[in-house]
Amino acid sequence: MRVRKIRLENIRSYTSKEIDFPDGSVLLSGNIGSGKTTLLLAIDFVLFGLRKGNLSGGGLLRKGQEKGSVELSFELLNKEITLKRNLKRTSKGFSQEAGYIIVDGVKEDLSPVELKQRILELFNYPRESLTKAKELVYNYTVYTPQEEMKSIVTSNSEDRLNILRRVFGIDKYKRILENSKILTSKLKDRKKEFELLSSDLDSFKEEKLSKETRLEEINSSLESFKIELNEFKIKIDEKRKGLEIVEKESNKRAELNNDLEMLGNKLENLVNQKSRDKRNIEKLNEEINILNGELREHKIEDLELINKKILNIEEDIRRIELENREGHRKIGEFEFSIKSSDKMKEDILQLDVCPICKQEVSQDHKHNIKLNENVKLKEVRELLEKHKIKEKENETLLSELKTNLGELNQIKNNNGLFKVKRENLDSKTKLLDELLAEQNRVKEKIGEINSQKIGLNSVLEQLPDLTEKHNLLKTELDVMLDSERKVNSQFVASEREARLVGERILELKNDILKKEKLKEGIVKYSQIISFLEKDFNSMVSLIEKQIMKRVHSDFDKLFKDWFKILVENEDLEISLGYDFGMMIKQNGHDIDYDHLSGGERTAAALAYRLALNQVINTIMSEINTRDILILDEPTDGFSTEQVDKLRIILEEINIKQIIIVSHDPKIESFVDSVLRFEKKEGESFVF
Amino acid sequence: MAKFAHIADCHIGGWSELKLKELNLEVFCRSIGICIERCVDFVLIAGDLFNTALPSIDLIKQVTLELKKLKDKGIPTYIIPGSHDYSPSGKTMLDVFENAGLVRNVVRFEEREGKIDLNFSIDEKTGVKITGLFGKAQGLEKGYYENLIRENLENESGKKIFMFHTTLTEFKPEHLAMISSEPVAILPRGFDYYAGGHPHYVFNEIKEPYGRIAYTGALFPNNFWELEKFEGGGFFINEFVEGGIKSEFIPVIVKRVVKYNFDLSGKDSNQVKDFILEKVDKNEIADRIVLLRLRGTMESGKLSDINFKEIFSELEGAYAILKNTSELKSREFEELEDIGEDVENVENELVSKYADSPEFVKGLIEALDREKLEGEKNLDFELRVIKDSFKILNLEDES
Repeated sequence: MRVRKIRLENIRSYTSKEIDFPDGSVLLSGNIGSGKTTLLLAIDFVLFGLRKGNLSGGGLLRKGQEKGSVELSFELLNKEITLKRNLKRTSKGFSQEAGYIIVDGVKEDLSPVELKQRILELFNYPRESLTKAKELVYNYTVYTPQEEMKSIVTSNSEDRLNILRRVFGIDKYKRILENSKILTSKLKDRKKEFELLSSDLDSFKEEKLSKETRLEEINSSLESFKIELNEFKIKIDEKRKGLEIVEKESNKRAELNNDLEMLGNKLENLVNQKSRDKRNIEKLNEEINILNGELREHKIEDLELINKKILNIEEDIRRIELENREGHRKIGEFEFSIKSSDKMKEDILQLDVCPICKQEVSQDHKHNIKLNENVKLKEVRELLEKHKIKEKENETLLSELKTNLGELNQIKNNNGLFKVKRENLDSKTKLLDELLAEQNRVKEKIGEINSQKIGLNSVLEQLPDLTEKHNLLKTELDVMLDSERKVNSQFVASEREARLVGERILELKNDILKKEKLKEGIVKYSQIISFLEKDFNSMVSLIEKQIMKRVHSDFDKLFKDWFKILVENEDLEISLGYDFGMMIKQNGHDIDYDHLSGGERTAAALAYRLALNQVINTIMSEINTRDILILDEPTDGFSTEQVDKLRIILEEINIKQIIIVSHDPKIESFVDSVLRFEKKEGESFVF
Repeated sequence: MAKFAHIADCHIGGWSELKLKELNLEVFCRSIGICIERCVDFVLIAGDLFNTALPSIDLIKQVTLELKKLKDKGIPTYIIPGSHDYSPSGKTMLDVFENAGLVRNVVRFEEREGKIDLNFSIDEKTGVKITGLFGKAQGLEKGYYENLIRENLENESGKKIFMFHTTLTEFKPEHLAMISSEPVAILPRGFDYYAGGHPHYVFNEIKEPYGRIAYTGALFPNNFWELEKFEGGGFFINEFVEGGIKSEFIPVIVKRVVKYNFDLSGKDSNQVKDFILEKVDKNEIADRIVLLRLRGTMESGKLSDINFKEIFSELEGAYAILKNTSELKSREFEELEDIGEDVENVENELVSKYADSPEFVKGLIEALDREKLEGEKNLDFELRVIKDSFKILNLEDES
């Protein structure tokens, strides 16, 4: 790769600038802050994009600008390539927009990630770089900020080794060893699981043997039971046949007895009916005689006439009672008038002044009034007497009428009662006739049944009684069935046991098979674990160490040589430890990097950086960035003599394009071309 | 008679470990104190006062104070730059000190037609004539010696001292056999005293036709090995006496050293801590410099697996603890065989070589090479790994 041209739009101190890069060594010269390092950051950005924590949009985009871009033209494997990335300020911060790449005139618009992927392909960098925050190969072969190199030199041993493993692409062995641990741990877990699951294999085998023995015993018992059951079957069949014959005979006799019993029941019912009918006939005759007697003595009156008489008497009674009520009212009135007149007479005698007209009441007047009142009293008392006489007459009449009415009502009632009795007599007479007829029929039926009973008894006497024989046979059969049941239940139990034992043996066989497989697995896993822990891991470590040793050897030689060129101090020896840390000896004893002077530290870091570059380029022969080297302030703290010695080193490393950023004007004397940077009013210019 | 101190290889600032750096400086201060106490007439520093040409300001501050003490006492300090504090551009702290009048760099010469004509610096008080040549990294001073005009130097009369910062082959001890050196013949002859620096060992002998040649060794051990071997350093106090120079080595030991040398062979990295703590006597190490040399091949684990911070914190009574693990290896890595050049085929090669059924192992590697997908639950991921692996392992997946 060789950089041809870079175009910056609104990047840090640049508004719009196009800068051409010649081949050979190029010095970017200028004061601190004149925009030299910006070019390096811009190249880093256009190649790999923004990276969290390493290259931020805020650090690149010119203040106050919304958009910026970097376009880089470079030559790579005889191809002309132009690459552009765009940067934009957003409400949330900064974002990269789509850019493009032109390879030999063929343009492709690509997303920021695709651009990085294309560059990694073109540079032939490891694929895993795509997801890394830092492009290590680029960082340690092409462009390393000096401070970053000092930090790798001073970081702890393990961190440094990890970084270098990544840089050299041999971190895979560390990864493999870590993953081997994961695998081993899994295998050990699985082995333990297998051991646990197969730990009872022997007990399973013992159980299987014991179950097989038991099954043989059960099978032999089953055979015996089968024979026994067959014998029972024959005997029981015979016994059942004999019993059936006896039962048939017994049933005939039972049926006859049953018929006879039924006839007896019928006969008993008929005899009962006959005596009941007899009692009813006698009772009916008696009742009929009584009724006949009662009906013969009683004369039945004309009911219509009696009713007419009753109505007339009731009318008379109502009329007299009305008169009595009126007369009684009149008597009351007359008695009141008498009382009023008496009171008037008393009051007027005591009255001196009229309460109404307030005039004096004279004795004459009092006397007149008394006379008048006496006349009235006489008339009233006469009327009162009359009415009282009338009232007495009416009460006598009323009593007579009520007596007549009672008698008529009695006659009327008696007439109804006799009518009912007549009807009763008729029905009883009819019932008596029916009972007499029924009595005759019962007598005939009783005769019939008695004849049947005699017939049945004679048949029954001819049949033998088999009850005893039947009971004997039945008992014998029951004993046999009981014994057969017992044997059968033993047979069934044994059969069930045989089935269960058989199933268990099958299960055990399967389990034993599985457990034996597990045992085989344990052996296999043990072998693999042992292989991984002893052989494989050692081999991977050995491979890594061999590569590291090889790398170390080259690295150490270059590092020592270049440091010696830069620092001529007999008392200071520097070399590379196996952890790729600097081993520094001053005055024959070990000292830390921090004890070096500023210039010595810069020299050590530069020698380390250049040695690393050379070693990576040698080891990773396929990477396509071996033609370019960018050094940022490589002589910080150097003496004039040391700056001169940098020339020797740069000639020795033989790289086609070396870009050096420095504010040290002495470097101008040994570079092929110089680009001068100057900042005016916040904007960088290049001359 | 003139009395002078010969100091070399102070390497101030040479230790990065703070306590040792302080100790180094303290030894220098103590040495200057001794020089003042012993009333030397002048002090020679034969190279590598500092560990670098431009040391840190706090070190400069301290050293300035000490040199000022000497100056204030009227004791001049003569120096030459060494391989560590020499600077071809002249950007060295020594120049600053010289300009401030605290020291005098005796390397003063004129170049004539490619030849080096050295001048003497004459100590005012004693009249002793001092000259010398600097040391440079990787023995590059050799050219200067080759072009040195010797006659003037050798013919100069009076008491003469030559300061140099070069290892001389003839006097090189075994442990420095591998470092570059020059024959003694490079030195101009006829000096009374040759104040040497550079090799860290003590040497003091009269060698004819030269004179007394001396190396002080490092004023303070400059590294782990030197601490182990020498525990401390020192300097010479010399005095011109009748018929020669009387020389006395002054050891300067500020802290004692306790050394442990543990063979960790057969141990696991996580056993190392307990092992060390069991072996180290905490009473013995109190306020001392503890040196831990760890060696051998550990059975497993990496060096970085050993938590030295915890170990050191358990040994907190020590003044300082230094360790050296350069001979400590791990069997895990040492025993790996060479598998050739092609890294990408390592997996295939090793699987084919070691597995009984390579195809099966490759299949299993492929099946286990699974990564948790974005949004995938742990349980689902594990089931996926198990399922894919069971297929390869020909196992029934009942999960």
